[in-house]
Amino acid sequence: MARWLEYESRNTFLHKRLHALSKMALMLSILIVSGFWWDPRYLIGLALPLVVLVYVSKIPLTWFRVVLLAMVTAWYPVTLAAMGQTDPGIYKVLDPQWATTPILVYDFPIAGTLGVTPGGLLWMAAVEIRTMLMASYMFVFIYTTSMAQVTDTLLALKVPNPVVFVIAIVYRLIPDLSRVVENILSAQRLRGWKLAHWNPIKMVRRAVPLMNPLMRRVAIMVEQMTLATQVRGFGAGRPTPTQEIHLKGIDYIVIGIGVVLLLFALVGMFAWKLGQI
Amino acid sequence: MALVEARDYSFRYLRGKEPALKNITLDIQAGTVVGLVGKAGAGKTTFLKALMGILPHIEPGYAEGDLVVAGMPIRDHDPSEMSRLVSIVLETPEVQIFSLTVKDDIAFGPANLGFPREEIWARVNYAIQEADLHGFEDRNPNNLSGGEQQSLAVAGALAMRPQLLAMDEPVSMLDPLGKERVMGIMERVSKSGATTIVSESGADIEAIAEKVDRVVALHEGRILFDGGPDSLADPRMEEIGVGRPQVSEVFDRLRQGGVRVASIPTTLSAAEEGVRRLLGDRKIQTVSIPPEYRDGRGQRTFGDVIVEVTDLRHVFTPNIHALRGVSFQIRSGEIVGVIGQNGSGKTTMARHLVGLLKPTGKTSKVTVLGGDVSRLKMRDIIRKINYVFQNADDQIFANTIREEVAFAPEMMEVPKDEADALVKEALETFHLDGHEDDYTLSLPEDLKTYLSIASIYPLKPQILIIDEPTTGLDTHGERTMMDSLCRLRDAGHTLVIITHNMKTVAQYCDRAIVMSQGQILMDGAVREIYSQPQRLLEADLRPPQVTRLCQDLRDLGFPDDVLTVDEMARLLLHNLQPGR
Repeated sequence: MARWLEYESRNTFLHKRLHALSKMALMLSILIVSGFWWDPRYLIGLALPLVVLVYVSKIPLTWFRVVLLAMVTAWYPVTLAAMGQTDPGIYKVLDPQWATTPILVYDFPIAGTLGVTPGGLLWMAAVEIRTMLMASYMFVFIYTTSMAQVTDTLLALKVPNPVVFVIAIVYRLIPDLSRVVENILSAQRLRGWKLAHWNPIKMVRRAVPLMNPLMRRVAIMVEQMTLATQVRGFGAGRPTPTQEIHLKGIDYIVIGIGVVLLLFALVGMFAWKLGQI
Repeated sequence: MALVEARDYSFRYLRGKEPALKNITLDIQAGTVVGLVGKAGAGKTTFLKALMGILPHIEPGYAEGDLVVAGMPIRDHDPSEMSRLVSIVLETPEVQIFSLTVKDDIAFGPANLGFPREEIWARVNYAIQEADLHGFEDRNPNNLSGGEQQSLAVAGALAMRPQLLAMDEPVSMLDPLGKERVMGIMERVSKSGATTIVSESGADIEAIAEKVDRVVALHEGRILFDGGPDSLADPRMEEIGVGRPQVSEVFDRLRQGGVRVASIPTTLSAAEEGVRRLLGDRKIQTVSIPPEYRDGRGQRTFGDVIVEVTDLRHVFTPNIHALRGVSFQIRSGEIVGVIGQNGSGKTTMARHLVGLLKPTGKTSKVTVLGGDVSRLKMRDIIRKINYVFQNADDQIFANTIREEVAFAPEMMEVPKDEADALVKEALETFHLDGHEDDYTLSLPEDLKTYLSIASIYPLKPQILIIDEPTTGLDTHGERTMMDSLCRLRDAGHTLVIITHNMKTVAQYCDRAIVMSQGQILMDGAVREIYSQPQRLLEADLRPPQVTRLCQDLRDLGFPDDVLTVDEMARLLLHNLQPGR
């Protein structure tokens, strides 16, 4: 069973038939394009291939709970930021006056009087959808691409060793961290601990039994991992990629789709304000 | 020239008050298998790290004297350079497994050394063959058993084609067949000409005894003695807290009982030969069994059923059946040992008992002290039954021992006077009084384990589940820990111990539950379980050395269910003592 953010060797199209380089190219294009676009309709369009990829890759749907949690948690600051989008200059397609006219005004304790505008609402929707898209595409990539495939590809692309090393460490560390967090939460719950409290100061204090062991364990894990890599010769010289890059027809098609999408988004954005609000 | 030459080598860690190694002088010739024995903190790991150049290049400190490996002074060469000559296998396999498929992980080392691709895959194939990992090439290491994971770690080391293979307690976390698997690899490697140094602090001294051809005993950073494999039977092994192989202890008892014993064996085969010779000299063809040779465990009575598990099932996403219909009962006052290979479902089962997991089976039910765990609140469950995790670092967060122990009463909003009394009692019960104000960060392994149990104790759960209470402890530490747990049992607690240590179960448990592939394979008195070695093998388990000795001597009338050194010694003395 794969832990959260851990590659799992499975017999799917994305696991077995698509090279890491093509997946990198496609994901990178989509992530860049999702950064260009502010119109939620276009961003939802990017979610359609995602649904297909999630289905094809057989990624555990429980992974996406974290995305939902992040979107819900980020709702309040995102809403506040959305209320701040009152500069008419940022709206390229919408009528600036309509986009910045408040439809609801509220007096906040510290931030002062803020209004909800149609433009702000669209901006907020775009940020939430983009967060979901970025996280989900990253999940698909991580679940279907092993660390060896990633590092081999990066080494073949002449990416410097230290960068490859950091990526490898992160790839290895994150699934382990999720296991450690789960263990710490369980161990503290068994001593009557719970995080929730009506008093925010007490709640912060109550995070200490989670954060202290977590930081200690992360420090130990990083130290152990550094040691484990060095004793296995990391740093002794330029590593050899264990596999050559052999792209198949389907890989060229996927890379092509990525490049076309990127060019289309770039040209469309400047020429026809495509995806803008 | 020796492969390893140490001359008056000492090392003190940067923040250490005392040197961890003191004036080490020794030569190790190529092709030997050296057992480096000593209790926890004796300097074994420090010495192995020094051989790899980890000291002082990654973990800084002050070194004096000379340490040279294959002509390379380690002070001038860091681990990445030394990795061409020396490979190290650490105690915990998952730490050193880096990639997400077996073959990629084995290739990691040779790829780092920059070998051509053909050479890398040739080395991978060699290591797969040596470590017996055929068929595992595309498996995710996380889905391997503990023994297989450690075999993979060894394979990763072998792929570097080292002249020296250093193994730091490589079998301590493994089930018995896992241990045999790793020790078998070590034997094959040494036959191929590489030198192996394997460290051991006591729990697996029997496994080491079968394979080494030299023993170096460390005590407080110094070499206490250096000799052949028979020196594992040296009485000083007891004095330094490591202990001796069970068969050596049996023969020592015979000698103390007046039986003339030519030599003290350290291996099972030598012990079997020794017993046959002693009986043969007295023309005994069938031993007589004294009625009083067994310990009194069979006569102990237990209270009511306090834990009842019925058809417990758990399926993890996507479709992994971790528990497949587990049913058992636990009675008040029992010490139950739960054994089985890594991944057999022991920990998943324990998590269900304390409500950390909910069963996925419709008819599954876990009842503790009359309450259905799935309907109880966590605050109520933890006062009835609690669980101590294997890794104390997952739990310890406070600055001092006292603060850590006081955490549970504080969370349960116990009045201060009452909480203080509970904390005091917990500190005394687990030998932590006098250490109350010690910082938790720098505690040795045994105190950490005591602390993790002590910090649950103020909740006064009637049933305690303890995951691997003796891992990381030397023989002396293990005995002290288990004696403390027996006192808890005597005070009215019921204990469930999850362990890999077959000797601990034989010595201390009333009952054993053997798990395999998410099911209970056997459940009964330890004596009854250990007398069925063939069924135990189905769960990758073997009885302890002394039980196996009796089973090998079955043709002479020895019973199958001898559990401890005491029992075996009584049985043999009854037949061999002068005047009989």
